[in-house]
Amino acid sequence: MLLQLTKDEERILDGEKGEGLRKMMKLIVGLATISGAEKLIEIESAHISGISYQNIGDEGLSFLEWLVEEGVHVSVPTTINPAAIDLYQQGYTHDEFYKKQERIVNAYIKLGAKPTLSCTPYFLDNIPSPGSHLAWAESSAVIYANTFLNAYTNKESGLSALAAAVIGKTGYYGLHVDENRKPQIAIKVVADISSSLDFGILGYRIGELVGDKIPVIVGKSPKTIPERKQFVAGLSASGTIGMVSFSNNLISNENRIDVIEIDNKEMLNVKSRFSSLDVDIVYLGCPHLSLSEIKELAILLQKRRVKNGKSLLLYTSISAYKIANEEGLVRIIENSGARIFAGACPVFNPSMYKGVIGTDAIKTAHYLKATKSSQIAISNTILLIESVTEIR
Amino acid sequence: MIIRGRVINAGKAEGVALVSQKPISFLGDVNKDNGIIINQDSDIYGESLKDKILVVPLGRGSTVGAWIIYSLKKKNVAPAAILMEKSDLIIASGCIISDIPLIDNFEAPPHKVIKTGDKVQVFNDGSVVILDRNST
Repeated sequence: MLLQLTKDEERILDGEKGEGLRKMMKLIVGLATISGAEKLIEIESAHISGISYQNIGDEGLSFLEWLVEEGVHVSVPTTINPAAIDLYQQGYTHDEFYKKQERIVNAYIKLGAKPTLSCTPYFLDNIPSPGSHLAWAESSAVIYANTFLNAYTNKESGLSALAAAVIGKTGYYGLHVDENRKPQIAIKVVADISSSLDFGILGYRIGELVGDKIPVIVGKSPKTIPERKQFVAGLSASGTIGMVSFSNNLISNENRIDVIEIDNKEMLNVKSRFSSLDVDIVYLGCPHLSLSEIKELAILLQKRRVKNGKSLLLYTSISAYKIANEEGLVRIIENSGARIFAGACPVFNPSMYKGVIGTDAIKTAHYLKATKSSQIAISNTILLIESVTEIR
Repeated sequence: MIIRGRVINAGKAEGVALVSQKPISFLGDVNKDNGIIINQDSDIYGESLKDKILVVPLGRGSTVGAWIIYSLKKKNVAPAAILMEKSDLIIASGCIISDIPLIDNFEAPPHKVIKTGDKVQVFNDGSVVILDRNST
């Protein structure tokens, strides 16, 4: 059956509510048509990616400013991904890059989005109700929402999430349909998994192995916030799928789906692609640190200081930073010589630091390896902190 | 000769066809300032997209590709229309925000039917008329 539109939807498509809305509706309708949707459905919230000037460039900026001129406004609660740099950090040079990045964020604010600048909207800023339909970009957040929050969203692009935010609707296809969320392949985990980094590597390897098939994972499941976050980020960096499911055993394999086993060798396959050199710069907070993670780091850093010639860089959302600042955690962290950035991304930013980069996030390692010439090492959070700090 | 496809972004266009047998990624394959194909592995390497009826089987690559299409349009070096065997979400997004007609799902793959140099007309209803066959 072809896509059926309501009278109201047709009117927007005909341009009765202006050129900006017409284009946004055309995007929703075009993508729904390609994907074989029969109708549009309402969404509860949107989360938009492609905020970094490094990512969308002058073209993205000019399109956003055009939408502002057209008077376009979002119609559902909408949050946005991190920018390339921390716009609110004191002492940052207000160069061309800074100004363009600021204009992009300002355009989103004028369009009605909340300037959350976070890749973890599910912590504080944009918490989906169970069973809700969303239009989220940022694939790690998409997998988190579908897998752990019982929400329904496809992996949107920045543009399609923006269009859905404005129209308040998206096509009823893909992961919005229960039928399409069933596992098509099983992953049996027999590897030793003992840290959030291990869960990141597990997610990364699963993403590589399953292609576009949704897996059911048997044997291990991430429980804590850092474990879950690293797991979905690993999946999003290497793969295309938008969700996974977990099961305690394989008995319910009535559909006779294929089973792939992941053992320690499979984990080593990923680990061995990265360096084990001593690190100079440590990036933590990909995806963004939650408030509880910031607290744990502050307790750890209270008695330590960053060694000469080393850097410890933390990344979190605007909302978590504000609370951490009020609670005195930011001061504790900065007193140790570490830096904490709000609303920025360790991956899509202009490089300011030189040396071997260490991270506990497989996603950071994946993208920095692809885009920068630096050596990248992966290790556990605590080991990384110990390697660039000393007891005071 | 007339072929008919599914309208993803409606519009009228007329121009000379530029046909590739390979999936295209606007990010990486195309210079966003002048519309020239810069990927040496492409079978249309060195060609300009400006005002052409671009015919490709599929899209591939990063979602940033949508912004590259928008840049080409802003700089007046965009294709006049794009015809595909099966369109993808990236090229569709780029064509829709840039007002470039996009048609896919023809009876037969357009990159097998149309040849580079053919003169082609594209209509609002998804019909495509091949006017003058390129004799070479």
